[in-house]
Amino acid sequence: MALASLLKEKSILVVCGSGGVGKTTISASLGLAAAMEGRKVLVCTIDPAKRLADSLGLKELGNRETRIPDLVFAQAGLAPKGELWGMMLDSKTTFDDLICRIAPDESVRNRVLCNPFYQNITTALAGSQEFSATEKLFELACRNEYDLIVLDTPPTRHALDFLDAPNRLTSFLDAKVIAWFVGPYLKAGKLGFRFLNSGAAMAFRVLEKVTGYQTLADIADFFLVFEGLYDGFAARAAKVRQLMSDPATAFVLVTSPQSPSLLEASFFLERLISENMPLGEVVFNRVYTAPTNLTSEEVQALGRQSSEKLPTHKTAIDALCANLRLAILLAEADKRSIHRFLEQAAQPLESVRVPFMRTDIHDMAGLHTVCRYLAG
Amino acid sequence: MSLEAIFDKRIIFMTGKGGVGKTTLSMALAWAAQERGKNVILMEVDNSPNLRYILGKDIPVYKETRIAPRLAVFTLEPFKALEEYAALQIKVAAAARLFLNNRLVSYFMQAAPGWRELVTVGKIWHTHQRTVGRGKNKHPEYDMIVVDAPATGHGLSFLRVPAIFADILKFGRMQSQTKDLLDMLRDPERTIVNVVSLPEEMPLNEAVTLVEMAKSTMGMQVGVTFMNGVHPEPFSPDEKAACDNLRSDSCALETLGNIWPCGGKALFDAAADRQARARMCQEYLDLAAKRLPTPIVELPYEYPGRVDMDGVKRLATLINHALCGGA
Repeated sequence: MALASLLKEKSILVVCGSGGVGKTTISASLGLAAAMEGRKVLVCTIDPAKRLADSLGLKELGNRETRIPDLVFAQAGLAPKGELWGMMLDSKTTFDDLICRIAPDESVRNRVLCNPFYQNITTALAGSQEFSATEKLFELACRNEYDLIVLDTPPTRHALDFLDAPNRLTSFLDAKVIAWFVGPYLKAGKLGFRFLNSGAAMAFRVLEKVTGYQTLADIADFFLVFEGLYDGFAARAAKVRQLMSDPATAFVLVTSPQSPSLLEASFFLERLISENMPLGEVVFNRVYTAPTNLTSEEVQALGRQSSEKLPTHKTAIDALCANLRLAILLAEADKRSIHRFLEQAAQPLESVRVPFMRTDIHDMAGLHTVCRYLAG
Repeated sequence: MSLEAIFDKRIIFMTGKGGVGKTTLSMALAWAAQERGKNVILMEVDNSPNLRYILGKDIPVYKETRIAPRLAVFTLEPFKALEEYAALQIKVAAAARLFLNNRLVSYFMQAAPGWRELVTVGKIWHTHQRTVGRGKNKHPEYDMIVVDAPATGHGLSFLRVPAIFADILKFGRMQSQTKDLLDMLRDPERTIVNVVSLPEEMPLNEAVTLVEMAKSTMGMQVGVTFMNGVHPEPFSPDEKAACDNLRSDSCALETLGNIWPCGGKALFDAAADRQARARMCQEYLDLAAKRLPTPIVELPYEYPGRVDMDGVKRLATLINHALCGGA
């Protein structure tokens, strides 16, 4: 499906790709494009693109949705028919919100929120950002306040981590594991683990030796409380998964046309296809383009001809021609690698190319320029 | 900190936003160090295709692979590191395996947070402790460990984990081991963090955040900045003057117009493109000079953003050249 129709018809676009390919810029531009066409759009990002946020009038971009002021559009000479909203994901707040939502009462809630083990898994540790991104997406989608949500996924080394996060967390909190962990802890009570005979107790004794008892108590207590929350948690994770493969959702894969990022992109692509995730579009970002259709050889010949006619300007002509030839070579190289990527893909792909701009994109006018390329 | 001083450190963490060329520069720094006679190991936290690209071949995970007489590479793998650690703790390897292969333990380990990062730092610590020779000849096996940090959004968060564990572990053997890790990370004589960035907004912001985090959250010593992918000024001063001269010669422009399609517009457009990029790079370099650790080692952009071993050697030469006061 062409990107223009994705923007018109889908209700969730998940923008993914490896780090440094311009996901945030592309996400914001997609959001702008849809808002221009009359939709109410929310762009969720993880990356603090401070300059971009500043120039969009989003000085305090936090875990809450903020509407881009009309003035910012007017200054760029734009009059969107819809609305553009932005927010920055905050892992910890998202987690806490979720606990508040699924905890049956205040005491359970506080016991989880105050548990040191919980506090640690929600902040620094791997997967929590990815998990909270999907969780937030689900929450927003349930509220049904936006026509389109564009999710700029966290920058992971393996873009795939994003897909695995909910499952990893769910299996971590799986009831069986909890029972295994909590069981000996409860049985042990004041007797201590030493008197237990099961395999779990043996494992526990090892853990106790290396970790110290208090830690285990924290973990066990966390699981104990979480046992009651597990069903709610797992049900949500399953729904998140459903939402990801829903026909109203599409993945937009962003990549640069250069090798390391293309390689990651092809892994991600394989994964999306094998999991039946709805891939909408591949965006090749920062593609070298040449300002001419001439070949490098033609430039060389024209250069020679020019120098003969204008011998006093030979230095300038040589320098300009060398520079133009370099631009042509880079453009050709990008064209070839994009072509190869599309050819090797397991299924035909829709794609657009956004050229390497002269400067960074960090304001509304810049985003609008990108929009024009996205719309094709 | 002087660039020279980083070569006296034992452990060098290379951090920065994803896609800035950390692996390439880690390799280049390691190569520069081995050229100076150091025995070096490059430890890669994540198994990345980039290192394999550079080497032009696949290398095994969790195995020291020598790629030059004084340079080895090593890809960390948490499960392997855990197995090694457990074997050291339990002493009986079979029992360690039994423990780790316990269905529930392995199930739990698949999902449990934190331990991956902890054993990763643990393995780095262990490698830096290893010695060769006896008596007076006893010395560390590796003079320098270059750590290619992960490329996730917060590439240093794996270094925060020892502090987190130190916080939640009240006593026990692991508590004191965790303290050893923290001591290593926080010892400015042994360990530094270098940051890699591109002359672009987001990588630069991230670099600033990472440096701040290394300094205040983790209490680590910050080293230098590597500014990768700098688009150089496309023309020499002479060429630039000649181009300006051409532009103001209307007769010459008319002649060009007769030879080139569209009056030779492409020549000037392509020049303006690259000049704009070079100017933008300069702006970010100026900003970096104010906000990132100095000195800033500038490394030129190389198409196609992918570097092989020859490219690494070129960068190593540039680093060593910058060291001699060329930067």
